[in-house]
Amino acid sequence: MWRNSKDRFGTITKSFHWVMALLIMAMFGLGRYMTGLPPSRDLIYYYGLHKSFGILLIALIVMRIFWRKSNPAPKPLGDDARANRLAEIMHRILYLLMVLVPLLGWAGSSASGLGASFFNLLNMPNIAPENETLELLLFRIHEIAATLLVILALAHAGAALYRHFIKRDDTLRRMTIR
Amino acid sequence: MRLAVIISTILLSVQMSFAAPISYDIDKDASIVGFTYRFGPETIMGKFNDYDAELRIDFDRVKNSTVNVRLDTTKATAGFPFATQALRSKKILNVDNFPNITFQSTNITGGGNTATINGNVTVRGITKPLTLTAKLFRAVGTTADERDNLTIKITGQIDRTEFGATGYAKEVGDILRIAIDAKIQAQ
Repeated sequence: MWRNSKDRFGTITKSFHWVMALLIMAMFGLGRYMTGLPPSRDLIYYYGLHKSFGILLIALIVMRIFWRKSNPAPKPLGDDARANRLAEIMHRILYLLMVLVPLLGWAGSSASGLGASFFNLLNMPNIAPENETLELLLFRIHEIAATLLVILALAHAGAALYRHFIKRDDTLRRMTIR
Repeated sequence: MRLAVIISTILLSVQMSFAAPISYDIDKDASIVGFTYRFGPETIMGKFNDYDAELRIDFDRVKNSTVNVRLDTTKATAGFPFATQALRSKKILNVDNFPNITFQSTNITGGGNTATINGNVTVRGITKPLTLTAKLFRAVGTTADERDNLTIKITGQIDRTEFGATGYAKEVGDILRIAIDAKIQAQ
């Protein structure tokens, strides 16, 4: 029930999937919103929130990778080997981006000299030298990678819906929480 | 004749003792070395939490007064999280390379309870002239000749771009208003 079985996802995997999906979409929205705001105390609050949830997302993706390694996903449904191969590549890219995007944000915050803290409870160490050119570069890549992550996540959702409504298999149903 | 000499000697010594500049200590617990700055539509106060100051006031000959201040930039705060890190970062005070801001008075003028302090301030290794206004206050209930326990309020303004502290130009105003409010005690 908690763990994945041969043909079902367990509760832990489903929780990782949906909590992170929600957080990533919310973070993308917050990131786009706050970078367009004029300066104010609210702006600083939003940046602090974005950094804190980013740190949470790093912790979640690390735990999720360990969980997946120790608890493999069930076999893909259907006999379209090409589609399943494509899905696997997609999953790998999504995992890679889920690691890279928050790391790039953390590195950019380090390069800015402002650093990152986890809800003002824990100050994160700096992982890049303080340098404005590096900061701008890291945040640019952070933005591009985040945009790519959201586009691919939407494509991933689209593929699940395609399997559900067109192919009429159980791919989406076995990830939903009932 | 003899009496006149004695009296005049006493008078002179009294006058001499008043004429000497008085050195003051700052009661740091009751003092704020602050500054305000614009952040978008808001005005926010920052503080220098560690500093040394030498303050000598000559009430009779104000020109003989002197002020020397050293502010520790590594302990400066800017009012809220991230702003403090921004203040200390390379883009503004660059505290790793410039751990101090210093001020030395060159010429103090004025009288009564107000003085104009001309001096040189060094920020990020760049020295520029700076003019400050100082006002002295005595506590309620003290007499007009109170000099042992006073409050000094120092105001002025500084353009951070003159010192290369140009970071966050879009968010933070160039002009900082100095707001020092210190309780001082004669040594």
